[in-house]
Amino acid sequence: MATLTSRISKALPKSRAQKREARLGLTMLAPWLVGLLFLWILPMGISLYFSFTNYDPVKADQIKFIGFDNFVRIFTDEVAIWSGFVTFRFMFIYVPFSVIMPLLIALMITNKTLPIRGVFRFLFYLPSIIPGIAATLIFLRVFNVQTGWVNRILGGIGIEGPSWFWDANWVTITLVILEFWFIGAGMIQYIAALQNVPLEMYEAAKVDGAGPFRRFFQITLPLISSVIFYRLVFALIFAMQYFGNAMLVGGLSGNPDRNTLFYNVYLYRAGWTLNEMGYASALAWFLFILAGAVTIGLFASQKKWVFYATGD
Amino acid sequence: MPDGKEVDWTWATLRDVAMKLTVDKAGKDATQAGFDPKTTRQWGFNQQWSDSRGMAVLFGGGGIVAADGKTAKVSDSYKQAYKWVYDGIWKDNFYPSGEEAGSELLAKPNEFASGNVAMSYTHSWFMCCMEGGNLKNKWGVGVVPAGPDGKVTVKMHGDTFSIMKGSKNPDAAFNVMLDIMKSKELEQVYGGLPSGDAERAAFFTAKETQFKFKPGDVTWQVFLDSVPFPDVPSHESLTPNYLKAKQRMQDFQSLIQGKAGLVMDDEIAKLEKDLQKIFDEAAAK
Amino acid sequence: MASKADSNLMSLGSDAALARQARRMIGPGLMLVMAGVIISAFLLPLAYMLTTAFRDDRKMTEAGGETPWYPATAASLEYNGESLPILKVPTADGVKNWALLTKGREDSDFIDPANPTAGPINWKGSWRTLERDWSPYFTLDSITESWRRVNFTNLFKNSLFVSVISVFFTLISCTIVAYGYARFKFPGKDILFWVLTATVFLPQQVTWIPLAIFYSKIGWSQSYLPLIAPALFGSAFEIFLLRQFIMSIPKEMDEAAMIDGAGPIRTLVSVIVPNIMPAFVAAAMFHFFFKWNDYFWPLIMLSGKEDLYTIPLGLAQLNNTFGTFPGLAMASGVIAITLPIVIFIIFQRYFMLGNVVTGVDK
Repeated sequence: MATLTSRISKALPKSRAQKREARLGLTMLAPWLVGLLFLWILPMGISLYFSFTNYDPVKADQIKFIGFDNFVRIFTDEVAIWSGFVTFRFMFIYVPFSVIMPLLIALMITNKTLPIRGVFRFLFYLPSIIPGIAATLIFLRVFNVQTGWVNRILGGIGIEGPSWFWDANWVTITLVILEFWFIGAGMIQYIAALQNVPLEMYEAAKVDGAGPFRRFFQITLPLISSVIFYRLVFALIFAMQYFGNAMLVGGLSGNPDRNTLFYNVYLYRAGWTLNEMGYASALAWFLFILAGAVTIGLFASQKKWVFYATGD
Repeated sequence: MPDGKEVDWTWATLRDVAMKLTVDKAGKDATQAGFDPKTTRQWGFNQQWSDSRGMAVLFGGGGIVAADGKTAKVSDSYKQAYKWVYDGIWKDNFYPSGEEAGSELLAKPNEFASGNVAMSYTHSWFMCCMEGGNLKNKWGVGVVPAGPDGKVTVKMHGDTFSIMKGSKNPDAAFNVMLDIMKSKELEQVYGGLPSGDAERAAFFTAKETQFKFKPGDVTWQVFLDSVPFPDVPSHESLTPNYLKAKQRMQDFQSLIQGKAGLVMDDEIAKLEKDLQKIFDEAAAK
Repeated sequence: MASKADSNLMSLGSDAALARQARRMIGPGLMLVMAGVIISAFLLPLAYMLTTAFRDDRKMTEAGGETPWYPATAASLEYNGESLPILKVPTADGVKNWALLTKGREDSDFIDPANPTAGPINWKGSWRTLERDWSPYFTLDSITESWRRVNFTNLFKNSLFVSVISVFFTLISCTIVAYGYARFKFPGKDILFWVLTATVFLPQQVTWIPLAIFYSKIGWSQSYLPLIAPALFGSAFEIFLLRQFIMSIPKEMDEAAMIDGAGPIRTLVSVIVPNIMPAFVAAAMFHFFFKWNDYFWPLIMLSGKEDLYTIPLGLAQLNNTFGTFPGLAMASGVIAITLPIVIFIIFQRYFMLGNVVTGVDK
């Protein structure tokens, strides 16, 4: 019925009221549309143009069109490829971690047997509002090999802790631990989704003799799949763009031994410290296309596995 | 030496002394069996406020560019110095690694002021910044050993001011420079050793007051006697494609201070290869 | 716990009831212990920060290595104008608290604080193996010193200025845009909404370079304009949040206002806004924290103009300047996070609400 009326209204010539409404609506959107134009579309166009040039702001007058050279260079530049590897390695650990850990914490906090749940929820959220730079400065000291509390505690129970941020084999994991501090948003989203699962469904499953694990996998998981989907998309995009904290930890050299030289750190270094803004623009566009493809792919796949309770 | 013998003040001697001055948690020094480098509490020697070229002038001037100005060549004196520093960090354990420098014990980047480094090779202007540390006035200055060829080399920054040709305000800039030169207070803040003899005496006296030294506590003559021995060519000399070369050198320094088990000759060869690419790029433009 | 359950068993007199009762008591207990262990590990870095910020930092760095887990100071003795550290020295008559006068490798000289005039006592062994005489000590010295050194008064002023103005602009622009999306039909709405979603996901790096060049070309570098002006054009997170709330208000309410002769703006101000206050607060919080914590754009645009620095820039600078004492670094951390935490505690409810509705991180 609803589709029928909307079809009819679309077929009918636009009334003056409708035209007025459309005009008003677009006027309301005007601030954002202007922003879209000046903060996204134009800059994107300009950086696309830069990516085909050898643009260097110090020698702006020598700008020259060089075709696809910058894009070809990405695939022949050992350091760029390495930075892609560093980023991918981080993604590989970070994504599952940041999808699953907040869910586990949320399950713990929504468990009715746990007292003072509100306090725990507050405490798990707390670090999420700390500036990333402050958090990184704290972690660098807490994970120091000699004087850091983590290794002192491990030493106390007879384990010799690694060098964490200074060990090529550990630094990625240590960065994931650092990012674990910012699980607040994910946890809250999971908590809300878990609380929306109708209790009757559990009761019914219990009557059918389903144990807690079966109940979780057959009822809870499908019902919170939309949140899992969002977590997954955000984790992937976040990992692809990982930048700020890594640069504070490893500097522009990506200590230790280039192991924190993430793709974006490399991009920043190319553009801002080496003045190769043409190349940096190409790096940015390559990332943009990749991230766009991943996002579109995920959204396309969601029909297959993401469950939405209502149509709207 | 502790046994009363007199020895030549060479870099080998300095290393031995530095190792003796490197002490772990149990009170063992780096020359003793059972010394645990993971619990070092005091380090023997470091170089502070040095970039990767600055840290390489221990055994004489040199550079990373050959005389033709376009071939990447790490001079032998630099190679020796990099190896010496690398062994100091990872084999002899007297030189703090990047990680150790960042610990609470050394409070990077002001390691010497923490009081946990016995000897530090650094610039005279660094005296600006030792007050805040644990060190107070318990320090002195000494001469650096002669290089293997018997020549003394002193890492030197000749700080000069210049006004760019394209400067929009050359007259105003000149006045600022004059003011900097005239102001005794700014001179102290700036911390470089003044070029005039009279100013130098005043500079030392002011430092004595600042740190509550008694006259004679610090052998200021060391500064004056070092002046005739700058590193030639200077570690701050011209480099083609400077920004990129600098980044590559910075990566090299991180590597030295961050990774054990390297073969320095291989790493230096890699460095030269990369630098050559960077230099060629500049030549092609 | 267990003994209490036992006594309950006696009184209940039934095995099944006992087991149930025990489970009811032990269940929460176990959960609490488990959650407690996890949260302690989770918040360990915060504990380190607090201990380090409020301890007697000079004494602690001097001692180095294993300093206590609580804010503390180490005892010392004033002797001939020198401050000597007091160590716990094991002797034939038990452990003595003596002050270390002359350090040696194999033996050291100590002064007995109880009897300083007796002169030095020689002790065989390495003083480095001895523990300092710690006692709990709480001081604000590091806080006041780092406040002064980093000039936090100025940083706070700058951060507040940037954040508050941005929040103000963003609320205005986002409310209008969200209202447009929620209440009006117009051609291309679906596509535009899709684009809005895309701006959340797609990497902004692709706009960095042209924007930075553009801002400096129009003379905006080293000013707050590049940080504030974009707020006038709305941002996706806040638009989502407000739109969601506006859609939950019955449309009859606007229609009633319209019938009374109110235009769309009047309706927005008098009907919509009063009804979406929670979302309004949540959006304000989001944007405030985003601006307060933002490091990248201030770094790019304000570099070299220290008097305009915001708090994250000040923190980074502190970490790079001379004499970084752990106490000072951590004290500045404490200062930097205090305001966000206070705001978070007050508005916690709205903040969490915002997270749930938008389904996105900020």
